[in-house]
Amino acid sequence: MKSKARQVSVLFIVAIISAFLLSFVYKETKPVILEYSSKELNSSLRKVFPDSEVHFKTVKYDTLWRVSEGNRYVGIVFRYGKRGYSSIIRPIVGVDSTGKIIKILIPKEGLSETPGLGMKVTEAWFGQQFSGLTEDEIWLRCDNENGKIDGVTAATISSRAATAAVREGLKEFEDYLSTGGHGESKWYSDDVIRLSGMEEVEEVVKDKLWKGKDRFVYLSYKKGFISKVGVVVSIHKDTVLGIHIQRPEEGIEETPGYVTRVSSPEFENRFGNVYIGDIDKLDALSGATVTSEAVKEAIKLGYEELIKERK
Amino acid sequence: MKRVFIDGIIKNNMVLVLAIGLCPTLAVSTSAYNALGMGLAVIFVLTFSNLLISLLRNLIPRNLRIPIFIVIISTFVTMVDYMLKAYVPPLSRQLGIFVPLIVVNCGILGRAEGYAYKHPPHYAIMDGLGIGLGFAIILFIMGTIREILGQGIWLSIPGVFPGFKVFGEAFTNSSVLLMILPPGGFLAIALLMGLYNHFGKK
Repeated sequence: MKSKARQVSVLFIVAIISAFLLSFVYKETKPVILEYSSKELNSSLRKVFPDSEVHFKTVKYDTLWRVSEGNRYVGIVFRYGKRGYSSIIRPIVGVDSTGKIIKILIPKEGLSETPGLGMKVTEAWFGQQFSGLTEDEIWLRCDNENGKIDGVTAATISSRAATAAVREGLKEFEDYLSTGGHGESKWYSDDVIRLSGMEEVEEVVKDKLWKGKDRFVYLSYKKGFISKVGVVVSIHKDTVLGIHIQRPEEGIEETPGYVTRVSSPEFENRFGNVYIGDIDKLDALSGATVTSEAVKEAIKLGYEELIKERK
Repeated sequence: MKRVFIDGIIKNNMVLVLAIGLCPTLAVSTSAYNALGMGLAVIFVLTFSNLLISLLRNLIPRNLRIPIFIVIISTFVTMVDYMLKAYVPPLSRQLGIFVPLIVVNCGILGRAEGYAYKHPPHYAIMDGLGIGLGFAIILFIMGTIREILGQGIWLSIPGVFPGFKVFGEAFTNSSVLLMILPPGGFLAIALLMGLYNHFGKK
């Protein structure tokens, strides 16, 4: 019994001392480690998006970043991994908002392809081939006739994996890219309620549909000229009280100029106090017919949902 | 006491004589700089774990010694790991998993069990320094051989220094890649063991 107590206490004391030492070292080194890794990450991001004006916002840790210049959304940076010959190749890829590759970077760190062969995918000449390409061109020349990438001689598996990682990553983040990070899930209910001017929410009827004292508010999307157009609609019985159309800074990616002018108070005011059946009779904004129609369609779609709920 | 230190380097050399801890030896001796980093890490861990174990040797119950050794060794290894990550991140990247794996390096556990647990602290420190230095020297020589033959350069430090050019351009462009691949590790270690046995016997 006595020897057992001794054993436990010795192990306990050793563990305590060890924990104390480690917590001290941890406290001292943690900030340094973090600072280094964030500095390094930032410099990698800058390399694939060389414009000095832009800044990066992490959307998903180590995987997806949203890039903006001032308030304007200009593209994304993503990392996507694909198994190579003996390790996972994870290029960092900068993409502009039209889906064109700006630059890619294949970091050497953590990569253990064959030295002198597969490792050559990290060399600058290989990465540079990707600049300016779109999704269907990102293939090795030997694999697809549209392909514009020359593989590394004697390292086809590594080259193919690197190329596939860029192409498949682009596909993976396509939705995010086209909505500028303001996909349907990104407009939070708080935003919608603020934009609708509703004073108090009585009930969340369902996703994207709220009931207030004197009105219903819903959020609805419809594909416009280039991307989805989001519309927040306030409605009382059959009368549209007012709408709010997604602004460029809120993620709408329509052609600048005429088309983005739909998301302005002037156009929105045409929808104030209008009977739902008369929506179609309202004038479209000249030069932006498709987007204007998308707005009307979005209003009607949301209204149909509302009718279903009322029944 | 001096004897213990010298013996650690030559007579009890971890790699050439005891032939323990070969796994990290083969894995990280691809360049002289990596080898140097690993060697220093092992010297640090071995010396301090030897010292602490020797100090506690009368307190540690016999049937509990292995878990206590492991706790002590892993404490120092974790300290080294954090410090490498914080102050020499590129080296930490290169060594990768082999730094945490020092915990299970049988050389270190072997010295704890076989020497430090049975000897007073000043001897244990000397043993740690000697054995550690012996390991580091061999690792450095292997790294040198493999880097020079495999890449034609010596002492390159990633991101800081491109390395001394030992051979001309023609060699660098078609170096003996085999030497930085795993077989090169075996070749280098065999060469060193052979030389040691040849001259050691006389």
